[in-house]
Amino acid sequence: MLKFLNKTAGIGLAVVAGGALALGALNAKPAKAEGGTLVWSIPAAQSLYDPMQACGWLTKNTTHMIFDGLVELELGKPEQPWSTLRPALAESWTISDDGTVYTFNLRKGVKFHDGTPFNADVAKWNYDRFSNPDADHYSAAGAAFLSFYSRWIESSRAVDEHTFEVVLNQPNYEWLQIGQSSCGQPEMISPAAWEKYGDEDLALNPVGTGPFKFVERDIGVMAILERNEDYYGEPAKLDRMIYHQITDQATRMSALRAGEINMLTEPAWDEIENLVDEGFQLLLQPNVPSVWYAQFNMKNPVLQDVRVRRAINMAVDREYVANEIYKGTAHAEHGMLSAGTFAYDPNYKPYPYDPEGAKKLLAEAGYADGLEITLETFDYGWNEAWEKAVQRDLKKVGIDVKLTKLEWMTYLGKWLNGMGPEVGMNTMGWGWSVPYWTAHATRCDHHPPNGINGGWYCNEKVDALYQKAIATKDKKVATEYYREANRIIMEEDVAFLPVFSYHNPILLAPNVKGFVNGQENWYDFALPYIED
Amino acid sequence: MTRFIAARLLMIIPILFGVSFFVFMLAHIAPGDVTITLTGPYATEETREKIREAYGLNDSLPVQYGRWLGHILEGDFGKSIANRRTVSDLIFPKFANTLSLAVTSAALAYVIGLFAGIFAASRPYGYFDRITIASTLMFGSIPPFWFGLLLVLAFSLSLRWLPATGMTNLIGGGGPVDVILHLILPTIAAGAAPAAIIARTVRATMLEVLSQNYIKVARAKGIRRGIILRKHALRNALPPIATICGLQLGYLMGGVLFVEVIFAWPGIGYQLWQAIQARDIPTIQGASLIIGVSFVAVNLAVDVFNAFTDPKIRISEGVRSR
Amino acid sequence: MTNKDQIQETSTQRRRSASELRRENFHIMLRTLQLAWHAYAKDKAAVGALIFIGIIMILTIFAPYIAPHDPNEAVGTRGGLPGTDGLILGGDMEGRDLLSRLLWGGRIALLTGVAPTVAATCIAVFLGVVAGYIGGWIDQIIMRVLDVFFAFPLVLLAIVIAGSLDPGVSTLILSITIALVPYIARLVRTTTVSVKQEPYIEAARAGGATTPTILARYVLPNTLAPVIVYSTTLIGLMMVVASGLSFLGVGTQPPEADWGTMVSDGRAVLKKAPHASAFAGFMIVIVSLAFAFIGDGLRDALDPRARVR
Repeated sequence: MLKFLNKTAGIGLAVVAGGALALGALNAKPAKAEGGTLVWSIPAAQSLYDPMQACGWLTKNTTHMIFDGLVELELGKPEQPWSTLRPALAESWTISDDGTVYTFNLRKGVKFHDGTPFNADVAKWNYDRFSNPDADHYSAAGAAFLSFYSRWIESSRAVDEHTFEVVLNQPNYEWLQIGQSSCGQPEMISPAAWEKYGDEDLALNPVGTGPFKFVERDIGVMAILERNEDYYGEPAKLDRMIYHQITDQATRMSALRAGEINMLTEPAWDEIENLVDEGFQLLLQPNVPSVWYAQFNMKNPVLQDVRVRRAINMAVDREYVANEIYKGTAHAEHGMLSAGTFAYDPNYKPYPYDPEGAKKLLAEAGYADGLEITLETFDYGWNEAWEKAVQRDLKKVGIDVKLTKLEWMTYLGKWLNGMGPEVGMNTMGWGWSVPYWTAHATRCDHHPPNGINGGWYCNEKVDALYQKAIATKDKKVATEYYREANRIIMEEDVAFLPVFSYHNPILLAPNVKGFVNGQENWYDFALPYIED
Repeated sequence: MTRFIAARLLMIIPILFGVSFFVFMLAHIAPGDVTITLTGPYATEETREKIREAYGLNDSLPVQYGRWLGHILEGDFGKSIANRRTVSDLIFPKFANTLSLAVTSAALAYVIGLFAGIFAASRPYGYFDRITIASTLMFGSIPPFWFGLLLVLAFSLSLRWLPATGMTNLIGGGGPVDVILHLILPTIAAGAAPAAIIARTVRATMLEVLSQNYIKVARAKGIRRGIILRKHALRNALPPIATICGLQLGYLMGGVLFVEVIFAWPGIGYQLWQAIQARDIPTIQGASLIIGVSFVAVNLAVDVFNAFTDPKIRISEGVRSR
Repeated sequence: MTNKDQIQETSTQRRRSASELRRENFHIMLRTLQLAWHAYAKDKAAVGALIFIGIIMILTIFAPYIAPHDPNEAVGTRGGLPGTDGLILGGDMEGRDLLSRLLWGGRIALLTGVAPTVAATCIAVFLGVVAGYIGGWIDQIIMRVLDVFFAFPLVLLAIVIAGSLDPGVSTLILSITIALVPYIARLVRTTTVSVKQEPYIEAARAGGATTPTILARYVLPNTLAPVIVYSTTLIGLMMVVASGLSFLGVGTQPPEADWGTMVSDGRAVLKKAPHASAFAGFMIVIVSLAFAFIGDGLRDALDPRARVR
């Protein structure tokens, strides 16, 4: 389509643009036939490519392709209700009967992208980086990112060349899966690369063992990976994986339609139907472990009344949000035990839409004439669609919600410090593939600044249940503990307003084959390929 | 003249210090802090404090500013806290990208603005005047993020003539022609508003000049309209026009932000916005400084240009040419 | 007795003469205004634009009474085309009545367009005229300080203001005003410098006019023309900048209706529901256009020479 213009464009113009090209353009090479290039429009900036010092889903999408952990989440089986662990750098592992000693049998003959061999000493070196303050290469930042994982570690050691052992300070059967989150990732980096580039610049020169090798990164613009031909497992099919940062939703969709990218996330929900009609493939994943919720502030005088919190839960029409606003790319969520975890109960729906009941409850609490609440949220490019729906629903029962939208860093700073008494609720959307996740926002000892329980909720019964659940080997029994904790949080104490879980709609060009939308916010790019 | 330029050049230095200082203060006052980026959400206050200490964020602001300044004088822009690239590696390529977009947009705006403005002024209050000015204004008043999308809808998605995003085609693209093709739509989107402003200012200034007595005299002498416009009117209308043209180029250096976002054009404005979002002070500083330099350079160029073309100003500025 | 009468007598006399003087002054002012209006009225487009803006202002001021629906309430099909569900202009992507949102949105759009421009123009005219007329060190200081503000990232400024006050319309107005001053001030200064060289200024000075008189009588009127033209063009532009800041999370708060925000919200669904952004975009365009025409009319009205045309 551009051939005609290519020929006729003047040479004079070429001179003008030459300077821009030399400084700004990237040397994108033409794609070869066998595997092709997948270009994904990432909607925001990525963080560092140092897995131990990075935070966020978008970053994990790149780092878990360059680096491998001892174990990884199985993201190639989208039909399972939750993702399980699969062997990666550890071929197998055992957990001692008391739930405190983890022993890993490491894969033999694995080499990093720079040729450094992987063995138990390297594993120990990596774990020391975030859990052993006495080590020379200990990283305080890495330890902070991974504290949710390393706080359980008592010690680690290389038993022999291919056996690595971690001892926990208390029983925890979920510990390995807790490590499968995106904010701080216990994945193996090459010690030789650390030596060569130093702790700081390591992030600019990531060297791992994963199915893709790092090629280049233009910060804030794009990153390019290429297939690792010497990968120990099934090699990636793609030649190249490109992450192209396109912040604007409308622009992303134009890029897909113009054929400039072939993978799109975060489309406008109302345009999905059109895009499918135009021939793009739509992939959904109903079991993403993530909940969009508002947390109630127990320090706010009005919201200290449990009847108000309950009324708010009754007054929000979650089905409308899921089906009308997100056009079925989400499901209504009534609890803080999210889909995509083994303890999830899809039939748990304690709050059917009941505005009349909510009004009655509010009148009972002495708010028959209405009341005012502040809801703080942040700008993440979704036009505050569900927050505004909540605002409208609450208006109908007499609650005036003052919606304050803040720029992300301003918000995050406030969110981490916990809500002041003037704020009623604040929002967040996240989760883990481990049901223990909720404890971060509920535990009494996680009140800021010692944690992220910014709503100041505290119930020792709940804390005890989570503690018991994590130390229980039998998943069925653990499930009962988790569900009981969730019931107390949602029905007795009503500490949250969960609204929906998102199904991560992905749109792909017609010639992208083999892509799997796994049960996480990151994907296995070793699977897809481009068909000619 | 050289002394005038030299004096103005010397003035640049305190301005840039002023810019960098205020930006530095603002970046510190802004809520939220970079240790969140550096240590993640689970970090304890103790760790945050340690990191602050390590990055020298605990020193008093003047000390931090002085340290930064010392490095700048050695040509060292420092290192981005958020992504660890050196700030100069990070911002100079992006500045070049913005510069190329701003220059093409400004060129487009000058051509359209000058022609439309002069034409409109040559037959004031006629239909041609109205239509020219109204149409440039209409294009100039469309929100650029919307205008850009409409352009993409028409020329990329319907007609399939031009690319929609980025600087090069990532799947098998590259080369200067590819860049030029990618430059066309953003240029139109960014140039529309300045074109409208310039057209209106040119028209107004020309009308002002055309109502002066010397023009009436010239007209009475029977000098041809075209010559009056070119030789007498335009020359005297130049200072305000040059000022506006300079202002618009300066505006474009920062104002193309929204166009950069809509076309995924990797420019300095967008980079600065990202740095602000991450509270990445060295990058905020470096990017503001480089944008500041370009502003000041453009203003200086305008002043010099005006001094050259308007003899009255030249004398009043107290500059003796010899 | 007589004494008192006399006093009363003189005071009434005085009062009469004072009121006469006032009346005379008033007549002169009226005559000037009349002349100005006469010049303005010659320009049909300017008159039309004034009427149009007047109507828009009245409509937005009385939006609470005119709007058929609550602007923040979902009343129809999401993205319903004009005419569906009895909504004249259709619904937006949240099912809210577009007509009502347009009416309400005009308030914020006009406010964020007009208020910063007017405020910045006033400040800039003062600074620019002082710098341009007095010159020397004062000029240097004023202009170099403005140069500093020139290079300020508007977004950073807005974030800081939003962080220390509250995010919202006031943040928008304040930050845009600060960012706008240098642009206008530079223009004012340039024009002032060239006006200062005119023979009539010299004549006035020779005639013993004081600096304030010269500034008010001669310099100001002659610099205002290009400034007004420039500023009125900026109004539309500022409505767009404001929407851009809202888009970045430092401006109008949801669910507040605002034209710029409506365009920005609707831009991702250009295929599915073009009307969601088109009406608001169209309003921004024609309101900017109208302000520009008013600017042209004002230029003619304020400039004594243009009046004789």
